[in-house]
Amino acid sequence: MKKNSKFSRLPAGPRQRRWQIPCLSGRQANSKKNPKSKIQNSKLDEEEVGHIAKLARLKLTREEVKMFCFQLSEVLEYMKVLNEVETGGVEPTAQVTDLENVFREDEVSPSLEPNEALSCAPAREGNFFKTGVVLEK
Amino acid sequence: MKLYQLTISQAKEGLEKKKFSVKELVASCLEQIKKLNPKLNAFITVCEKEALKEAKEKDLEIKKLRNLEIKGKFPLFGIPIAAKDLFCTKGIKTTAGSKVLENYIPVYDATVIRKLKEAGAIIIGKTNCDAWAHGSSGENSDFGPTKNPFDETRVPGGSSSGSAVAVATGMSLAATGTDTGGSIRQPAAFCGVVGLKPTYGRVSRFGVVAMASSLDCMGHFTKDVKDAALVLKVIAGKDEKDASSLPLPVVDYLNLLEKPSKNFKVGLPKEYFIKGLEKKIEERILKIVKLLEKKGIKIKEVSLPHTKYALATYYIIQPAEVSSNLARYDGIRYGLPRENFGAEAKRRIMLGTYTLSAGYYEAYYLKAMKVRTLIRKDFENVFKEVDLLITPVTPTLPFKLGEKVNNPLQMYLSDILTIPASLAGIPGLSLPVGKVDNLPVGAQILGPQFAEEKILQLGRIIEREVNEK
Repeated sequence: MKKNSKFSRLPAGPRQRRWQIPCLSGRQANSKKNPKSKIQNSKLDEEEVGHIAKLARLKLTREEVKMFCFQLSEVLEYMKVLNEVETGGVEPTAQVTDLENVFREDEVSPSLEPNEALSCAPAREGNFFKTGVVLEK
Repeated sequence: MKLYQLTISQAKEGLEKKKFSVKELVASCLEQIKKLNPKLNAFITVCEKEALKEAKEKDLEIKKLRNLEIKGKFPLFGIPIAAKDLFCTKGIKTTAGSKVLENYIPVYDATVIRKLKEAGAIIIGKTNCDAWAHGSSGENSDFGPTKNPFDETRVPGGSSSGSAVAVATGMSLAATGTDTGGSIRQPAAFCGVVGLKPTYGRVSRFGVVAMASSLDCMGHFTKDVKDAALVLKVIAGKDEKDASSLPLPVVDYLNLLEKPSKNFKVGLPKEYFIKGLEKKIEERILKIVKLLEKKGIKIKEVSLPHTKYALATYYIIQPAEVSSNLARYDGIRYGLPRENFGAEAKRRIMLGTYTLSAGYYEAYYLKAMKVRTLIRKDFENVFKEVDLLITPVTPTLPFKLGEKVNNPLQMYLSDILTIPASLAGIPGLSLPVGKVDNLPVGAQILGPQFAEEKILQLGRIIEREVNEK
């Protein structure tokens, strides 16, 4: 995975800015104070689709990459309609029922037995899930 | 009349009066499944043995019970109910319509399933659906598409495709569904049954495969409004295992059904009667409105100005939450590896990953969350003027199988009239109001949060009018 790519959640580094320039070329000069808050170019290329797939741990075939380039670009293009909406001073909605601070007593209660919890595991060793090697020495 | 044709309330009466046994009732539905499922593909798993065994036990039990208990303590005693294959059922395979979970056998019941069982219901099988509930046609199921019983060349709607078909054909007397953007209301309309999406947080989401957690609502399909009220009473309420469920009292929806307010004011939102809405559907809805006016119900044209932004907002927020929820499927603890995801799941995971990524988050996700606030406010404002809203459920009649599979945007557009209510978390009822060209048409009733009893009351009034015609 490329570090500091434009999709990374890490703080913006010099590399990230360089990544973004091709996307915004020509438009940035015209756009208002905060270009990030408006949907700009919505066309995805094959490299970008491949990279998103990598971030999402999905393996795509060449045909799928081509198909998603077209389909995702079309959907993203449709979303530009939101640029019309004035949202200055509007609070974002993350949830709709305004529930806050839902607490419960921190009490021990029965839960699944190890055998139940492991009953669907493709591989186990003792009371553990068995996985492939993730980190190598 | 065959037993599978009964509504829940009719079946309860029959059982109470000992006109037939639980086993006969269950067997009648099972027979219907055997006859129709090979064609319609509504079920992924049929629990024939388990259901019959339980029916036998219930028949023994019924001798000890007084009718009062069947009415009160076990309001669904002996009633065969199907569950969308998104609801975890202890010991019964739960696939979410995806190959990723084709071998997944839960070790616990979803809260909704537990409550149904405690009320005496018998789970007769697990219904087909778009994989992970992603879809509006049922065609995204990895176990083959479900067919519309009114025309097998057409889709039954989705994502709760199998549940809608099961109830429409009497394979079960009721079925559970999930509604994130219209997945109960739209297939209910396409199959001519009643579908209820309760308020967000009214029914526990615990144990149901998550799609988009700020939008997912658990609801059900029934043959009439009365049954919808009856089932809601059973499944609604606060659940310690779902922190977003609300501790509000559950009212007796069934009792309140026949006691509607004398001066209902119903709004007709002009943004729902747009270009692209089939003329015959519009005419059908307006005819219902006329009938209501004749009954003395006040009708008012209202406006929800941000409606046209709902679909774009939804297709940012929902895939963002999908990408997060589907990240847990790693094939290590249960299920198969990620390469088993189908095209639509991949599409949504990628869309969400993209719109949440740095440099894009503000323009897409944050912007969508703000527009969501405006859509909520639209509804809040309109419910100061009117009690309820009436709209069409779908812009078109059931479309042909295959018609939209290669065009995701067109497919997404089929939920355009159900999505705004999902974003606002308000309840919606989809109600059959007759047929156009031999295909069912649905009306949607929307109300303020936690006003389920009101939408059911209006639904009951409309149902009576329609049945009399």
